[in-house]
Amino acid sequence: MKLSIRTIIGASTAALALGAGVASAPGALAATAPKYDSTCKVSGQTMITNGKAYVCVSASEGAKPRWDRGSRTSTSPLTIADGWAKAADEGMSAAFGMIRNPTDKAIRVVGAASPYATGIQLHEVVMQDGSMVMQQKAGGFVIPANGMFELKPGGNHLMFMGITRPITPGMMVPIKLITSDGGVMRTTVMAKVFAGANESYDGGTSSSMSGM
Amino acid sequence: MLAAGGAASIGAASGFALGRSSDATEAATAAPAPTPAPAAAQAEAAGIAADTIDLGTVIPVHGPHQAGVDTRPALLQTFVGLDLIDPSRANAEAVLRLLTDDVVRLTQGEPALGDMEPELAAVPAGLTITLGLGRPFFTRTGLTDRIPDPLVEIPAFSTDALQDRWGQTDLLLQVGADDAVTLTHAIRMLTKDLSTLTRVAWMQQGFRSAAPAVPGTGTTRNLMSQVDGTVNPTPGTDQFDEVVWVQDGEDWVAGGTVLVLRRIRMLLDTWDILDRETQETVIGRRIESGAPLGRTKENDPVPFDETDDKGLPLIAQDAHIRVAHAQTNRESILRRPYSYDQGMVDGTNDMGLLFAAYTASPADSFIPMQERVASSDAFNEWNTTIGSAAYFIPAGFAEGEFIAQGLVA
Amino acid sequence: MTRIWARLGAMLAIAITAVLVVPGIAFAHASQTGSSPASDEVVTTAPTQVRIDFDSALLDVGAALVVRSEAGDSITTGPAVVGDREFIVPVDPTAPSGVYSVAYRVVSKDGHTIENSFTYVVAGEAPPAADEPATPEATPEVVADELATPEATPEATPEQIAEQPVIADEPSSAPDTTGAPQEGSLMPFVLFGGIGLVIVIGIVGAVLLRK
Repeated sequence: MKLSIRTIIGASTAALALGAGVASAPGALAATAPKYDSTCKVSGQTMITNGKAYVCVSASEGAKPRWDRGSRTSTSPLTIADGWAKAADEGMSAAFGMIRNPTDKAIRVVGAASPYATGIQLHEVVMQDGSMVMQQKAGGFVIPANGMFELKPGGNHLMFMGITRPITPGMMVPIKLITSDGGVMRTTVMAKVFAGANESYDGGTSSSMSGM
Repeated sequence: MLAAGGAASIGAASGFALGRSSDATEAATAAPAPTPAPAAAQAEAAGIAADTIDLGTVIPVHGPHQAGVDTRPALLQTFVGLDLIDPSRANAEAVLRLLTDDVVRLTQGEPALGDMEPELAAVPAGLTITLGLGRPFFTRTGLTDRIPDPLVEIPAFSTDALQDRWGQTDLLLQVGADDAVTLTHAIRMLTKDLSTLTRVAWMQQGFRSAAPAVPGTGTTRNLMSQVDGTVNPTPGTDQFDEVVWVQDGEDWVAGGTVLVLRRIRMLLDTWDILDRETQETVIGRRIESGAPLGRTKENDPVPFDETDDKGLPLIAQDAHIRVAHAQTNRESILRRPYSYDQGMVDGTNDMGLLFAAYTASPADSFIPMQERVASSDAFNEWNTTIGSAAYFIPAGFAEGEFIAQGLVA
Repeated sequence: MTRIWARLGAMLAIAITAVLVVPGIAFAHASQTGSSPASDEVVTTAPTQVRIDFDSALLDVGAALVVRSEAGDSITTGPAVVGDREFIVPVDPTAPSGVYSVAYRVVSKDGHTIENSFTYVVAGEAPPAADEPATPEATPEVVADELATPEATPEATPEQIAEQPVIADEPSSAPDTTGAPQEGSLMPFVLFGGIGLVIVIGIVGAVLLRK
């Protein structure tokens, strides 16, 4: 079979595109979707790709960390109380609330999704060179056993990287949280007018997050 | 939440003692008894009922009726009149959801979601937030066929001097609390949360004294010093249920009521020209005790048909209590009045009464009574109604529901 | 001569001013100037209305005017009407002869309540059931009594008695008989006192002039 130049170029482009698409997922190191149980480099690292969440975990003390992908259909025992989202006409938005873990084991939230968001990142706020900066939280949100984890403006929160429609006050926003142990927690939160929680990603510039 | 130490003692602590010497003498000559709390004893001797306002009071928010009607009137109450910016059924539902969430949290002493001043929500102070829906709410959102039957239009009366600035709005929020900061914070959260959906048309701020008008009673004094609120149906009685709560209708209608809100300006400069005897003749009651003329106690039945030894009627034909009293049980209304003070206008005090009446059917109670008042009440000379509005107060709601959910869901 | 007249004029002016500027009391309240029928009057024909007159404006609030027979029955036939300075109620003209008692309560424009009561008599051909013989001859006696004992005005100077004939036509100007203190009664007191004072000064001045 003779391969034409066009075919070679087309195939290479496709391969590159595939690789780029995969690599663009936040936190991705692997060029392709990881196979279940394939080893990963950094324990606690998370990745969401193709709607699946993966976290790099050691199955037991001293064992090599592997990509762990839970089932997408089991319901997580986590709950959210006092959840709400910031109303926005366009651009970015955020959601907050108190995540509660009633189990005896810590549960790690590795990702989130909403039909009203193009993508959701798990964000933290840290001090960097004298100013507060928002960034993805490596390792996701670890909800302690029999404990709580607060998402609030100026603190950890769910960042809607882009909204798919205007989020207006009083609207109920569906959100799901994906956990490392294979659980999914679905909830809806009400959108509210909120002046603060305006993020900036420029390193060094102070954010206009209120509450600080 | 406040510990018990948050309780505040009203009246007694302020060194207010009016010193009725006879009472004090009696107390001194009585057999030695265990000493009551000093503040309470002092207030008792002064004739002021030592009422304590507990700022930790939480009024339950769920139930068959919205709080704020049959609950004890708080010291401060603001009526907020709102209009929908873009009336639609979806926006109406958004308003109801947002409002309910704030009501549930703030009244329990919890901050609202996204509350930037959460500390200001910590003192519950008996906060109640009551929603009212005016006729325009229904007509502007395409829900005209859902207007509850009792919510009729209130006609203009011959003595009214109504100003549009105090007129009918789409919605009403009646917010009451015993603490001014709690109240103000609640109003701030509500108006902020509804700011993209509603605009505030007016705020009518009212207050009343913490000390009862007459010790041992629940009535208050208005700014003409009259005991105001006698002959009110008593919450929890059958009569109250019949005349205040709507009996029939959808689940958000039955258990509701209609609020008629009238802003009445008192013409105090001319009222103060009258001597007390004349004032009492005009009203039909003694001012100090609230007793009907010819009787001794506030709650004595009014002797409408009696005359004195000269043959003159005890209660004048045009006396306010004769003209304004409920002639049948159906005409009874629940009154929860508040005083207002709007400062100085044209060199004189602009103060008066926020007359708030709750009734299952204003067509059978408030309207015929007010017709009589307008045509023949002697009191009209010294009062001008400058604002009027009516709202349907939906029934109560259960946990997990939002107010008037049945209307929009 | 001129100087003495000037001095007299000044004293008169001071006296009058003193009376006029007494704060609030002098011309404050309306008071009854008369009625028809008059107090204790005996009339030969039953009246169609009872009318009370006042010397200043009234306020139409809280007013009541009742007319009752000796048996206590009302003989009014319509509502009492408060006018500018009068208070009128229609009564039954066919009411039998007898003693009728009138009682009223009315408010003056300045916010004062006035109450008063009196009786009048309707004379008949036959002696009425009541004990009181209602004969027209009784009237001058009543007036004479008034002149002899002017207890109506506390300050009875000789000058006041000289003034009395003007007042004698209105014997009902006596203040309220129900016992309640009536501030309105101060007005005639001050008025008569003031006029009396002026007259005293006038007489003193005249005496001085003779010197």
